[in-house]
Amino acid sequence: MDITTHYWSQSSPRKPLGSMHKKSKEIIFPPFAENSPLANDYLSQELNPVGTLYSYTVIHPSMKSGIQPYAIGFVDLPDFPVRIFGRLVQDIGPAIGDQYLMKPDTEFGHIFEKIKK
Amino acid sequence: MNKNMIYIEGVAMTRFDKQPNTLAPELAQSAILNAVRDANLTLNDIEAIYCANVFGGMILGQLIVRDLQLQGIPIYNIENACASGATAVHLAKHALLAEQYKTILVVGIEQLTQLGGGTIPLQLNDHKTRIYSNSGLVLPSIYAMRATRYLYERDEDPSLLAQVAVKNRFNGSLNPYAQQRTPTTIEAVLSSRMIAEPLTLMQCCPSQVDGAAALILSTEHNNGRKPVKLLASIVQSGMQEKYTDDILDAEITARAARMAYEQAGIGPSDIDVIELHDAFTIAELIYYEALGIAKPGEGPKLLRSGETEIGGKIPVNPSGGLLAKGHPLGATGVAQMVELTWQLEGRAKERQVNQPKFALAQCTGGGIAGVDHAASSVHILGT
Repeated sequence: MDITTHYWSQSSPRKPLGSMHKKSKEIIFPPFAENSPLANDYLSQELNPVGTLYSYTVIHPSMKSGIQPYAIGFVDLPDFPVRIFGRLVQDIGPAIGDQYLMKPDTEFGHIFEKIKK
Repeated sequence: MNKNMIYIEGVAMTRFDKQPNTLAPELAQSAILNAVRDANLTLNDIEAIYCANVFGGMILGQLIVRDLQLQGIPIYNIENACASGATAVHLAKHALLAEQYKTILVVGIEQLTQLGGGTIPLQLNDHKTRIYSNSGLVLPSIYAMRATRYLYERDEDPSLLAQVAVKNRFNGSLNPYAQQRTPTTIEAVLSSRMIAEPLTLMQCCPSQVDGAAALILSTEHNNGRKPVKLLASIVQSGMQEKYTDDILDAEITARAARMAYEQAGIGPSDIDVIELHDAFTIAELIYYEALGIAKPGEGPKLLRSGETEIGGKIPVNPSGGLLAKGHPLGATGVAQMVELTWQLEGRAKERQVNQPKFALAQCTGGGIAGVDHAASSVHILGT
Protein backbone atom coordinates (compact mmCIF):
# COMPACT_ATOMS: atom_id res chain seq x y z
CA MET A 1 0.00 0.00 0.00
CA ASP A 2 1.28 3.49 -0.89
CA ILE A 3 0.74 5.26 2.41
CA THR A 4 1.09 8.69 0.80
CA THR A 5 -1.85 8.41 -1.61
CA HIS A 6 -4.49 5.88 -0.56
CA TYR A 7 -6.38 8.27 1.70
CA TRP A 8 -6.89 11.13 -0.75
CA SER A 9 -9.87 11.57 -3.09
CA GLN A 10 -9.30 11.93 -6.80
CA SER A 11 -11.64 14.95 -6.92
CA SER A 12 -10.29 18.48 -7.34
CA PRO A 13 -9.33 19.88 -4.92
CA ARG A 14 -8.38 16.56 -3.35
CA LYS A 15 -9.89 15.84 0.05
CA PRO A 16 -8.78 13.45 2.80
CA LEU A 17 -10.75 10.23 3.08
CA GLY A 18 -11.91 8.36 6.14
CA SER A 19 -13.98 5.27 6.82
CA MET A 20 -17.43 5.94 8.32
CA HIS A 21 -18.99 3.14 10.36
CA LYS A 22 -22.36 2.30 8.80
CA LYS A 23 -24.20 2.18 12.15
CA SER A 24 -22.40 4.49 14.58
CA LYS A 25 -21.33 7.00 11.87
CA GLU A 26 -17.97 7.30 13.61
CA ILE A 27 -15.06 8.23 11.37
CA ILE A 28 -11.83 6.25 11.27
CA PHE A 29 -8.67 7.81 9.81
CA PRO A 30 -6.86 6.63 7.76
CA PRO A 31 -9.54 4.61 5.96
CA PHE A 32 -9.44 0.83 5.98
CA ALA A 33 -7.98 -0.79 2.88
CA GLU A 34 -10.50 -2.38 0.53
CA ASN A 35 -9.23 -5.84 1.43
CA SER A 36 -9.58 -5.24 5.18
CA PRO A 37 -11.95 -7.72 6.86
CA LEU A 38 -13.56 -4.67 8.48
CA ALA A 39 -14.22 -2.82 5.21
CA ASN A 40 -17.78 -4.15 4.79
CA ASP A 41 -18.87 -2.32 7.94
CA TYR A 42 -17.66 1.03 6.69
CA LEU A 43 -18.32 3.52 3.90
CA SER A 44 -15.69 5.76 2.32
CA GLN A 45 -16.22 9.36 3.41
CA GLU A 46 -14.63 12.58 2.14
CA LEU A 47 -13.56 14.79 5.06
CA ASN A 48 -13.59 18.56 5.43
CA PRO A 49 -9.85 19.43 5.23
CA VAL A 50 -10.08 22.61 7.35
CA GLY A 51 -9.64 22.07 11.08
CA THR A 52 -8.54 23.45 14.44
CA LEU A 53 -5.22 22.74 16.18
CA TYR A 54 -5.90 20.73 19.37
CA SER A 55 -2.30 20.38 20.57
CA TYR A 56 1.21 20.41 19.18
CA THR A 57 4.91 20.20 19.86
CA VAL A 58 8.06 21.31 18.11
CA ILE A 59 10.62 18.52 17.81
CA HIS A 60 14.28 19.50 18.15
CA PRO A 61 16.45 16.75 16.60
CA SER A 62 20.02 16.47 17.86
CA MET A 63 22.55 18.82 16.28
CA LYS A 64 24.45 15.94 14.74
CA SER A 65 21.35 14.79 12.82
CA GLY A 66 21.42 18.03 10.82
CA ILE A 67 17.61 18.07 10.84
CA GLN A 68 15.97 21.41 11.61
CA PRO A 69 13.24 21.66 14.28
CA TYR A 70 9.78 20.88 12.97
CA ALA A 71 6.23 21.20 14.31
CA ILE A 72 3.70 18.38 14.59
CA GLY A 73 0.27 18.28 16.11
CA PHE A 74 -3.29 17.00 16.33
CA VAL A 75 -5.87 18.84 14.22
CA ASP A 76 -9.60 18.37 14.77
CA LEU A 77 -11.57 18.25 11.51
CA PRO A 78 -15.28 19.16 11.82
CA ASP A 79 -18.47 17.95 9.99
CA PHE A 80 -17.50 14.27 9.98
CA PRO A 81 -15.43 14.77 13.13
CA VAL A 82 -12.04 13.17 13.46
CA ARG A 83 -8.70 14.11 15.06
CA ILE A 84 -5.68 13.66 12.77
CA PHE A 85 -1.96 13.88 13.51
CA GLY A 86 0.53 15.42 11.10
CA ARG A 87 3.23 17.93 10.27
CA LEU A 88 2.34 21.59 10.78
CA VAL A 89 3.52 24.24 8.34
CA GLN A 90 3.38 27.93 9.28
CA ASP A 91 5.45 31.11 9.19
CA ILE A 92 5.45 31.65 12.94
CA GLY A 93 5.00 29.13 15.76
CA PRO A 94 1.75 27.16 16.10
CA ALA A 95 -0.85 27.96 18.74
CA ILE A 96 -3.77 25.90 20.04
CA GLY A 97 -6.94 27.03 18.26
CA ASP A 98 -5.22 28.00 15.00
CA GLN A 99 -6.95 26.97 11.77
CA TYR A 100 -5.13 24.59 9.41
CA LEU A 101 -5.79 23.16 5.93
CA MET A 102 -4.94 19.48 5.41
CA LYS A 103 -3.13 18.99 2.10
CA PRO A 104 -1.55 16.03 0.28
CA ASP A 105 2.22 15.80 0.56
CA THR A 106 4.56 13.50 -1.32
CA GLU A 107 6.94 12.99 1.62
CA PHE A 108 4.58 12.72 4.59
CA GLY A 109 1.32 11.74 2.91
CA HIS A 110 -0.31 14.86 4.30
CA ILE A 111 0.59 18.11 6.01
CA PHE A 112 -1.40 20.80 7.78
CA GLU A 113 -0.83 24.31 6.43
CA LYS A 114 -1.79 27.21 8.69
CA ILE A 115 -4.60 29.37 7.29
CA LYS A 116 -3.65 33.02 7.43
CA LYS A 117 -6.27 35.25 9.01
CA MET B 1 -2.41 -19.53 55.50
CA ASN B 2 -4.99 -17.85 53.25
CA LYS B 3 -5.15 -19.90 50.05
CA ASN B 4 -6.15 -16.88 47.98
CA MET B 5 -3.37 -14.66 49.34
CA ILE B 6 -0.24 -14.07 47.30
CA TYR B 7 2.96 -12.98 49.00
CA ILE B 8 6.00 -11.23 47.58
CA GLU B 9 8.65 -13.41 49.20
CA GLY B 10 11.85 -12.11 47.67
CA VAL B 11 12.94 -9.16 45.52
CA ALA B 12 16.10 -7.96 43.81
CA MET B 13 17.27 -5.78 40.98
CA THR B 14 20.47 -4.75 39.28
CA ARG B 15 21.53 -1.15 39.11
CA PHE B 16 19.86 0.51 36.12
CA ASP B 17 22.69 1.91 34.04
CA LYS B 18 24.48 1.59 30.71
CA GLN B 19 25.90 -1.93 30.81
CA PRO B 20 26.71 -2.70 27.17
CA ASN B 21 29.45 -5.16 28.07
CA THR B 22 27.17 -7.35 30.15
CA LEU B 23 24.94 -9.85 28.35
CA ALA B 24 21.20 -9.71 29.01
CA PRO B 25 21.17 -13.22 30.53
CA GLU B 26 23.89 -12.18 32.99
CA LEU B 27 21.90 -9.15 34.11
CA ALA B 28 18.78 -11.23 34.57
CA GLN B 29 20.61 -14.07 36.33
CA SER B 30 22.04 -11.60 38.83
CA ALA B 31 18.55 -10.35 39.72
CA ILE B 32 17.15 -13.90 39.83
CA LEU B 33 19.81 -15.31 42.14
CA ASN B 34 19.53 -12.38 44.53
CA ALA B 35 15.73 -12.58 44.61
CA VAL B 36 15.86 -16.29 45.41
CA ARG B 37 18.37 -15.59 48.19
CA ASP B 38 16.17 -12.73 49.47
CA ALA B 39 13.26 -15.17 49.73
CA ASN B 40 15.34 -17.67 51.71
CA LEU B 41 14.63 -20.21 48.98
CA THR B 42 16.70 -22.21 46.52
CA LEU B 43 16.31 -22.33 42.75
CA ASN B 44 14.74 -25.76 43.11
CA ASP B 45 11.79 -24.18 44.94
CA ILE B 46 10.83 -22.23 41.78
CA GLU B 47 8.06 -23.97 39.83
CA ALA B 48 7.70 -21.57 36.89
CA ILE B 49 9.34 -18.45 35.49
CA TYR B 50 7.62 -15.50 33.83
CA CYS B 51 10.09 -13.42 31.81
CA ALA B 52 9.18 -9.89 30.68
CA ASN B 53 11.12 -8.26 27.86
CA VAL B 54 10.41 -6.11 24.79
CA PHE B 55 13.41 -5.95 22.46
CA GLY B 56 15.56 -8.93 23.48
CA GLY B 57 14.36 -11.41 20.87
CA MET B 58 12.62 -14.76 21.03
CA ILE B 59 12.74 -17.19 23.98
CA LEU B 60 14.91 -14.88 26.07
CA GLY B 61 13.57 -16.47 29.26
CA GLN B 62 14.90 -19.90 28.28
CA LEU B 63 18.26 -18.34 27.42
CA ILE B 64 18.45 -16.71 30.85
CA VAL B 65 17.52 -19.89 32.67
CA ARG B 66 19.54 -22.41 30.61
CA ASP B 67 22.66 -22.19 32.77
CA LEU B 68 20.84 -22.02 36.12
CA GLN B 69 20.40 -25.83 36.21
CA LEU B 70 16.63 -25.60 36.49
CA GLN B 71 15.14 -28.90 35.38
CA GLY B 72 12.84 -27.99 32.52
CA ILE B 73 10.27 -25.99 34.47
CA PRO B 74 7.77 -23.91 32.43
CA ILE B 75 9.09 -20.55 31.23
CA TYR B 76 6.71 -17.97 29.79
CA ASN B 77 7.99 -15.01 27.75
CA ILE B 78 5.80 -11.91 28.03
CA GLU B 79 5.75 -8.69 25.98
CA ASN B 80 3.35 -5.79 26.62
CA ALA B 81 5.60 -2.79 25.80
CA CYS B 82 6.60 -0.78 28.88
CA ALA B 83 3.98 -2.65 30.92
CA SER B 84 5.60 -6.05 30.21
CA GLY B 85 6.98 -6.55 33.72
CA ALA B 86 3.72 -5.61 35.41
CA THR B 87 1.83 -7.86 32.99
CA ALA B 88 4.12 -10.76 33.88
CA VAL B 89 3.28 -10.28 37.57
CA HIS B 90 -0.41 -10.17 36.67
CA LEU B 91 -0.23 -13.43 34.73
CA ALA B 92 1.77 -15.11 37.46
CA LYS B 93 -0.94 -14.13 39.91
CA HIS B 94 -3.53 -15.86 37.71
CA ALA B 95 -1.52 -19.07 37.72
CA LEU B 96 -1.09 -18.98 41.49
CA LEU B 97 -4.78 -18.35 42.09
CA ALA B 98 -5.59 -21.23 39.73
CA GLU B 99 -3.33 -23.38 41.94
CA GLN B 100 -1.09 -24.32 39.01
CA TYR B 101 1.97 -23.46 41.10
CA LYS B 102 2.83 -22.40 44.63
CA THR B 103 5.96 -20.37 43.88
CA ILE B 104 6.75 -18.39 40.72
CA LEU B 105 9.69 -16.20 39.80
CA VAL B 106 9.01 -13.11 37.69
CA VAL B 107 11.96 -11.44 35.99
CA GLY B 108 12.02 -8.31 33.84
CA ILE B 109 15.03 -7.53 31.69
CA GLU B 110 15.96 -4.98 29.02
CA GLN B 111 19.15 -3.80 27.35
CA LEU B 112 18.27 -0.58 25.59
CA THR B 113 21.94 0.20 24.87
CA GLN B 114 21.71 -2.59 22.28
CA LEU B 115 19.31 -0.42 20.24
CA GLY B 116 22.02 2.19 19.70
CA GLY B 117 20.21 5.25 21.09
CA GLY B 118 17.32 7.44 19.99
CA THR B 119 13.67 7.04 20.85
CA ILE B 120 12.01 3.67 21.35
CA PRO B 121 10.69 2.29 18.04
CA LEU B 122 6.92 2.20 17.53
CA GLN B 123 4.95 -0.87 16.41
CA LEU B 124 4.82 -0.24 12.65
CA ASN B 125 2.84 -3.32 11.61
CA ASP B 126 -0.18 -1.03 11.30
CA HIS B 127 -1.24 1.44 8.61
CA LYS B 128 -2.23 4.23 11.03
CA THR B 129 0.93 4.07 13.16
CA ARG B 130 3.09 3.89 10.02
CA ILE B 131 1.50 7.02 8.51
CA TYR B 132 1.79 8.93 11.78
CA SER B 133 5.34 7.73 12.37
CA ASN B 134 6.25 8.95 8.88
CA SER B 135 5.09 12.42 9.98
CA GLY B 136 7.19 12.34 13.15
CA LEU B 137 5.12 10.54 15.79
CA VAL B 138 7.41 9.16 18.52
CA LEU B 139 6.74 8.56 22.21
CA PRO B 140 8.28 11.88 23.38
CA SER B 141 6.08 13.80 20.93
CA ILE B 142 2.93 12.17 22.31
CA TYR B 143 3.80 13.23 25.85
CA ALA B 144 4.94 16.66 24.62
CA MET B 145 1.55 17.30 23.01
CA ARG B 146 -0.08 16.33 26.30
CA ALA B 147 2.22 18.79 28.07
CA THR B 148 1.39 21.60 25.62
CA ARG B 149 -2.32 21.05 26.13
CA TYR B 150 -1.89 20.73 29.93
CA LEU B 151 -0.04 24.04 30.24
CA TYR B 152 -2.62 25.70 27.96
CA GLU B 153 -5.69 24.43 29.83
CA ARG B 154 -4.25 24.88 33.33
CA ASP B 155 -2.62 28.24 32.55
CA GLU B 156 0.71 26.93 33.88
CA ASP B 157 4.29 27.44 32.69
CA PRO B 158 7.04 24.84 32.04
CA SER B 159 8.62 25.34 35.47
CA LEU B 160 5.77 23.21 36.86
CA LEU B 161 6.94 20.29 34.71
CA ALA B 162 10.55 20.87 35.74
CA GLN B 163 9.55 20.56 39.39
CA VAL B 164 8.67 16.89 38.80
CA ALA B 165 12.17 16.25 37.43
CA VAL B 166 13.77 18.05 40.39
CA LYS B 167 11.81 15.94 42.90
CA ASN B 168 12.53 12.63 41.21
CA ARG B 169 16.20 13.40 40.51
CA PHE B 170 16.62 14.18 44.22
CA ASN B 171 15.04 10.83 45.11
CA GLY B 172 17.32 9.13 42.58
CA SER B 173 20.33 10.68 44.28
CA LEU B 174 19.42 8.56 47.33
CA ASN B 175 19.02 5.33 45.38
CA PRO B 176 22.13 3.25 44.59
CA TYR B 177 20.13 1.40 41.88
CA ALA B 178 19.31 4.60 39.95
CA GLN B 179 21.05 5.64 36.73
CA GLN B 180 20.85 9.39 37.46
CA ARG B 181 22.21 10.12 40.94
CA THR B 182 22.78 13.88 40.78
CA PRO B 183 20.22 16.29 42.23
CA THR B 184 19.24 19.15 39.97
CA THR B 185 17.42 22.48 39.90
CA ILE B 186 14.48 23.90 38.00
CA GLU B 187 16.87 26.19 36.12
CA ALA B 188 19.09 23.28 35.07
CA VAL B 189 16.10 21.21 33.93
CA LEU B 190 14.67 24.06 31.86
CA SER B 191 18.04 24.92 30.30
CA SER B 192 18.88 21.33 29.31
CA ARG B 193 18.57 20.58 25.58
CA MET B 194 15.08 20.96 24.14
CA ILE B 195 13.72 17.61 22.90
CA ALA B 196 10.03 18.14 22.15
CA GLU B 197 8.59 21.45 23.32
CA PRO B 198 7.95 22.00 26.18
CA LEU B 199 9.93 18.89 27.30
CA THR B 200 13.67 19.30 27.74
CA LEU B 201 16.19 16.46 28.02
CA MET B 202 16.02 16.23 31.80
CA GLN B 203 12.25 15.82 31.57
CA CYS B 204 12.59 12.61 29.56
CA CYS B 205 13.61 9.26 31.05
CA PRO B 206 17.02 8.12 29.80
CA SER B 207 16.77 6.02 26.64
CA GLN B 208 20.17 4.39 27.11
CA VAL B 209 19.80 2.10 30.09
CA ASP B 210 20.10 -1.60 30.88
CA GLY B 211 18.78 -3.48 33.87
CA ALA B 212 16.90 -6.39 35.37
CA ALA B 213 14.57 -6.90 38.31
CA ALA B 214 13.10 -10.06 39.81
CA LEU B 215 10.56 -11.01 42.41
CA ILE B 216 9.19 -14.22 43.82
CA LEU B 217 5.46 -14.65 44.26
CA SER B 218 4.17 -17.44 46.43
CA THR B 219 0.98 -18.64 48.06
CA GLU B 220 3.09 -19.43 51.14
CA HIS B 221 4.84 -16.94 53.42
CA ASN B 222 8.10 -18.23 54.85
CA ASN B 223 10.78 -15.57 54.41
CA GLY B 224 11.00 -14.60 58.08
CA ARG B 225 10.06 -10.96 57.50
CA LYS B 226 6.65 -9.33 57.82
CA PRO B 227 4.48 -10.45 54.90
CA VAL B 228 4.03 -8.22 51.84
CA LYS B 229 0.84 -9.18 50.05
CA LEU B 230 -0.27 -8.59 46.48
CA LEU B 231 -3.71 -7.11 47.17
CA ALA B 232 -4.69 -6.08 43.65
CA SER B 233 -3.39 -6.70 40.16
CA ILE B 234 -5.04 -5.09 37.15
CA VAL B 235 -4.02 -4.90 33.49
CA GLN B 236 -6.18 -2.97 31.03
CA SER B 237 -5.90 -2.12 27.34
CA GLY B 238 -6.54 1.20 25.63
CA MET B 239 -9.77 1.97 23.81
CA GLN B 240 -9.84 3.44 20.32
CA GLU B 241 -9.41 7.22 20.53
CA LYS B 242 -12.38 9.39 19.62
CA TYR B 243 -12.58 12.88 18.23
CA THR B 244 -13.81 14.17 21.58
CA ASP B 245 -11.15 12.51 23.75
CA ASP B 246 -9.39 14.64 26.34
CA ILE B 247 -5.69 13.73 26.08
CA LEU B 248 -5.20 14.81 29.69
CA ASP B 249 -7.57 12.39 31.40
CA ALA B 250 -5.44 9.17 31.07
CA GLU B 251 -8.66 7.17 30.86
CA ILE B 252 -6.93 3.78 30.72
CA THR B 253 -4.98 4.43 33.92
CA ALA B 254 -7.97 5.91 35.76
CA ARG B 255 -9.96 2.79 34.79
CA ALA B 256 -7.20 0.42 35.93
CA ALA B 257 -6.84 2.32 39.22
CA ARG B 258 -10.57 2.20 39.97
CA MET B 259 -10.55 -1.56 39.42
CA ALA B 260 -7.45 -2.01 41.57
CA TYR B 261 -8.89 -0.03 44.48
CA GLU B 262 -12.05 -2.11 44.29
CA GLN B 263 -10.08 -5.36 44.21
CA ALA B 264 -7.97 -4.32 47.21
CA GLY B 265 -10.95 -2.94 49.13
CA ILE B 266 -9.26 0.39 49.77
CA GLY B 267 -9.30 3.88 48.24
CA PRO B 268 -6.72 6.42 47.08
CA SER B 269 -6.55 8.05 50.52
CA ASP B 270 -5.32 4.75 52.01
CA ILE B 271 -2.22 4.61 49.79
CA ASP B 272 1.02 5.53 51.56
CA VAL B 273 3.56 5.41 48.71
CA ILE B 274 3.42 5.22 44.91
CA GLU B 275 5.76 4.25 42.10
CA LEU B 276 4.26 5.53 38.85
CA HIS B 277 5.21 5.69 35.19
CA ASP B 278 6.95 9.07 34.92
CA ALA B 279 8.53 8.39 31.53
CA PHE B 280 8.19 12.16 31.01
CA THR B 281 7.50 14.84 33.61
CA ILE B 282 3.99 15.55 32.35
CA ALA B 283 3.01 11.93 32.97
CA GLU B 284 3.43 12.21 36.75
CA LEU B 285 1.14 15.25 36.90
CA ILE B 286 -1.54 13.56 34.81
CA TYR B 287 -1.35 10.35 36.84
CA TYR B 288 -1.84 12.20 40.16
CA GLU B 289 -5.39 12.83 38.99
CA ALA B 290 -5.92 9.51 37.19
CA LEU B 291 -4.93 7.59 40.35
CA GLY B 292 -7.22 9.74 42.48
CA ILE B 293 -4.57 11.18 44.81
CA ALA B 294 -5.41 14.66 43.47
CA LYS B 295 -8.85 15.95 42.56
CA PRO B 296 -9.41 16.86 38.89
CA GLY B 297 -7.41 19.99 38.14
CA GLU B 298 -5.43 19.83 41.40
CA GLY B 299 -2.31 17.95 40.26
CA PRO B 300 -0.17 21.12 40.27
CA LYS B 301 -1.38 22.01 43.77
CA LEU B 302 -0.43 18.55 45.05
CA LEU B 303 3.03 18.76 43.54
CA ARG B 304 3.66 22.27 44.91
CA SER B 305 2.45 21.21 48.38
CA GLY B 306 5.48 18.94 48.76
CA GLU B 307 3.23 16.04 49.82
CA THR B 308 4.58 13.82 47.02
CA GLU B 309 8.16 14.18 48.28
CA ILE B 310 9.69 11.42 50.41
CA GLY B 311 8.76 13.20 53.65
CA GLY B 312 5.24 14.07 52.46
CA LYS B 313 1.85 12.43 53.02
CA ILE B 314 1.87 10.50 49.75
CA PRO B 315 5.43 10.10 48.43
CA VAL B 316 5.54 9.45 44.68
CA ASN B 317 8.52 7.75 43.04
CA PRO B 318 10.84 7.57 46.05
CA SER B 319 13.12 5.40 43.87
CA GLY B 320 13.62 8.35 41.52
CA GLY B 321 11.04 6.95 39.13
CA LEU B 322 11.73 6.36 35.48
CA LEU B 323 13.18 9.87 35.17
CA ALA B 324 16.09 9.18 37.53
CA LYS B 325 16.21 5.43 38.07
CA GLY B 326 15.93 4.74 34.33
CA HIS B 327 13.45 2.79 32.25
CA PRO B 328 14.68 -0.54 30.88
CA LEU B 329 11.24 -1.40 29.53
CA GLY B 330 10.76 -5.06 30.46
CA ALA B 331 12.27 -4.54 33.91
CA THR B 332 10.38 -1.39 34.91
CA GLY B 333 7.11 -2.85 36.18
CA VAL B 334 8.95 -5.46 38.25
CA ALA B 335 11.42 -2.89 39.59
CA GLN B 336 8.54 -0.68 40.77
CA MET B 337 7.29 -3.57 42.90
CA VAL B 338 10.82 -4.33 44.12
CA GLU B 339 11.07 -0.75 45.39
CA LEU B 340 7.63 -0.85 47.00
CA THR B 341 8.40 -4.15 48.72
CA TRP B 342 11.55 -2.60 50.19
CA GLN B 343 9.47 0.38 51.30
CA LEU B 344 6.80 -1.78 52.95
CA GLU B 345 9.43 -3.87 54.69
CA GLY B 346 11.33 -0.80 55.88
CA ARG B 347 14.41 -1.69 53.84
CA ALA B 348 14.65 1.40 51.59
CA LYS B 349 17.39 3.10 53.64
CA GLU B 350 17.89 6.82 52.89
CA ARG B 351 14.76 7.00 50.74
CA GLN B 352 12.52 5.15 53.24
CA VAL B 353 9.08 6.71 53.57
CA ASN B 354 7.29 6.81 56.92
CA GLN B 355 5.89 3.38 57.91
CA PRO B 356 3.83 2.64 54.79
CA LYS B 357 1.03 0.04 54.94
CA PHE B 358 -0.31 0.22 51.37
CA ALA B 359 1.68 0.89 48.19
CA LEU B 360 0.62 1.33 44.56
CA ALA B 361 2.57 0.63 41.36
CA GLN B 362 1.35 2.01 38.02
CA CYS B 363 2.86 1.28 34.65
CA THR B 364 1.76 2.00 31.10
CA GLY B 365 2.82 0.61 27.75
CA GLY B 366 2.54 2.47 24.46
CA GLY B 367 3.81 2.51 20.92
CA ILE B 368 0.81 2.45 18.61
CA ALA B 369 -1.33 5.29 17.24
CA GLY B 370 -5.01 5.66 17.94
CA VAL B 371 -5.24 4.65 21.61
CA ASP B 372 -4.61 6.55 24.86
CA HIS B 373 -2.04 3.89 25.73
CA ALA B 374 -1.82 0.28 24.61
CA ALA B 375 -1.68 -1.08 28.16
CA SER B 376 -1.89 0.13 31.72
CA SER B 377 -1.43 -1.82 34.92
CA VAL B 378 -2.04 -0.97 38.55
CA HIS B 379 -0.87 -3.16 41.41
CA ILE B 380 -1.54 -2.59 45.10
CA LEU B 381 0.73 -4.13 47.71
CA GLY B 382 0.09 -4.18 51.44
CA THR B 383 1.42 -5.47 54.74
